[in-house]
Amino acid sequence: MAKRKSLEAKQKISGYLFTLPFAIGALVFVIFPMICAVVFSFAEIKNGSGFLGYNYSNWGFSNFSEIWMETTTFRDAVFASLTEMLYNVPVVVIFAFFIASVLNQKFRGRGFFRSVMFLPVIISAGLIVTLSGDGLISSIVSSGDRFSETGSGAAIQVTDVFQTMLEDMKIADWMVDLIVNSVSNISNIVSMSAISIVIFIAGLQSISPSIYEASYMEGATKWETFWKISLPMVSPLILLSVVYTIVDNFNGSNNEVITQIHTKVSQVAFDTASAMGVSYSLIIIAILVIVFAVLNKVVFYQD
Amino acid sequence: MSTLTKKERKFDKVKFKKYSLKYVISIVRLIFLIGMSFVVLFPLFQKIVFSIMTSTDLYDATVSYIPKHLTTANYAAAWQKLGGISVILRTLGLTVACSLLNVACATLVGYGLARFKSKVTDTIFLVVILALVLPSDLLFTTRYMLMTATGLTDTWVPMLLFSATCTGFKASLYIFLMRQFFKGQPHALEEAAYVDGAGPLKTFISIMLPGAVSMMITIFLFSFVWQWLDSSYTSIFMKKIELISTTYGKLNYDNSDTSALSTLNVSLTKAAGVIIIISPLVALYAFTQRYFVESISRSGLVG
Repeated sequence: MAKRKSLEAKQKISGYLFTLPFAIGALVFVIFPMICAVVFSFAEIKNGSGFLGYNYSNWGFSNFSEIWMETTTFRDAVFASLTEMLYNVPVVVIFAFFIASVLNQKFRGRGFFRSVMFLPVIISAGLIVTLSGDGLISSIVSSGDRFSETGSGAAIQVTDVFQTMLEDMKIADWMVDLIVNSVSNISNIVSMSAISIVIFIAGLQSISPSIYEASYMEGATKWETFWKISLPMVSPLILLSVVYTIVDNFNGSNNEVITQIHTKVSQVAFDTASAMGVSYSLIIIAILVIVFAVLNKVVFYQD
Repeated sequence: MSTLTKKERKFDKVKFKKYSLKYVISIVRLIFLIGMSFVVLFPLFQKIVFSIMTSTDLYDATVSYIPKHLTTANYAAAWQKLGGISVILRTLGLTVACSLLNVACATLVGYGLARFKSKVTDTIFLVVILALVLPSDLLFTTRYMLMTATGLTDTWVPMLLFSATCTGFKASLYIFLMRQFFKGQPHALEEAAYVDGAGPLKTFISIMLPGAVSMMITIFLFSFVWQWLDSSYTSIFMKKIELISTTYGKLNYDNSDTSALSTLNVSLTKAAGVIIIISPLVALYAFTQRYFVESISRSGLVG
């Protein structure tokens, strides 16, 4: 008589079968390359007949010392992308949360504005970013008199006035810089926020209206419901959005570090590329672990 | 209005105050949203205008946004530089194939991760997160070596393999979204199906899939956009195959002519090229955007 498997064992096996495509892909295209990258970063790789058609020699830390000590381009790019991230993440998350709260209200034309705010997902990815660094047209736009009303020339003057105003108000310099940079950088911020806006709208919609009703019955104001209901309820999504924005900032194709690694891969300088990739990944993972550990304590989980 | 009592008049005043405040808020909101939409739509509008201008219009001070000399020459030039119908169709074929494979794989794996909990699936989920966080260039070295060793570079196979296993560009994000979506679905239907004797695969296909259509469309949209605009993968694994991502570079220069006028023409051609590249995406977005927020808000990202 055939042995009948228990339901639990059956479930386990179906779990393996459903996840099999990714499991195979992950072994071959993620785990194996990851281990190889770590190994390669300690070697010097030349065309040859060894493993996968290359020869490996000169084991040691020479790749790492080359990219961190001897040359400065990679180091500078890493620090630049770190500072950019430190500035971008809070601005993007706060902006996205604000836009999502506005788009979550009921008013005419909401659908239109929603689709416009998600549009950057499409029009500011990959090739378009590369192609839009469109030297000539944008320079005509900003310097030519005929565009001065809407061109960036006018925008710079406005932010200048704004900046002196803020400085006169004795606001700390770094805050002034932050505000002025965000204003002149608005198109970048809008395009980076698109996914976070979707995440936040989803979160705000999933809060049950009965919680708000109950609090209004008890006499709470809108201000109070925002701080005591909306914010805690979407706080897990703030964590998600922070993590997504960090990863997006570090791994975006217009990130300088990624461009450098990519160039090295195309030049078949696999050893240097691996060393760069490994150092960069370690930095990303360290930052994500720290952010997660800190924010996870603040996040409110409704269970 | 002498028939109104004092109390009623007071009530009217309160009502007026309340409504006028509401009115002011909605006007402020409208202005803000129009401003934000301007930030998103203006570059697009500018590209469209430039794409139908001639270079004399660019010099003409009386022309700002409405060109005097309409032309389709920019589109013809950009179309030719991009490689014409064969390149567009090839890119479309690759993009559709990859997106469909991505959706199929993400749905299967996402379901497996959401419903069949075991130590193995938990580990696989960790790998999904890891693949999401790691910069893909770290993995390119070994992937490239593997593909050259097996002679698969410059064919469609590498991209199809990455898509079928969801290990391509941002593909683990699709698995993550699918898992969250299935986690948010009620168990009752599946349990009923199991009681009636359906196996896991049958339950998945006939009970769970129909409910997941909007999420699948969303993932298809993401995958289509990112694959269509991707140049980081194709520039390494499909160097010799002409796709939009390999021909778009030709928009940046004009071999035959290096005069000042030709650089202006190049800018105009580039504007037309950008419009050609993003128009299929905008069309797809217009059809699918209503599924977009809906699917994510039902995905239970919150808990």
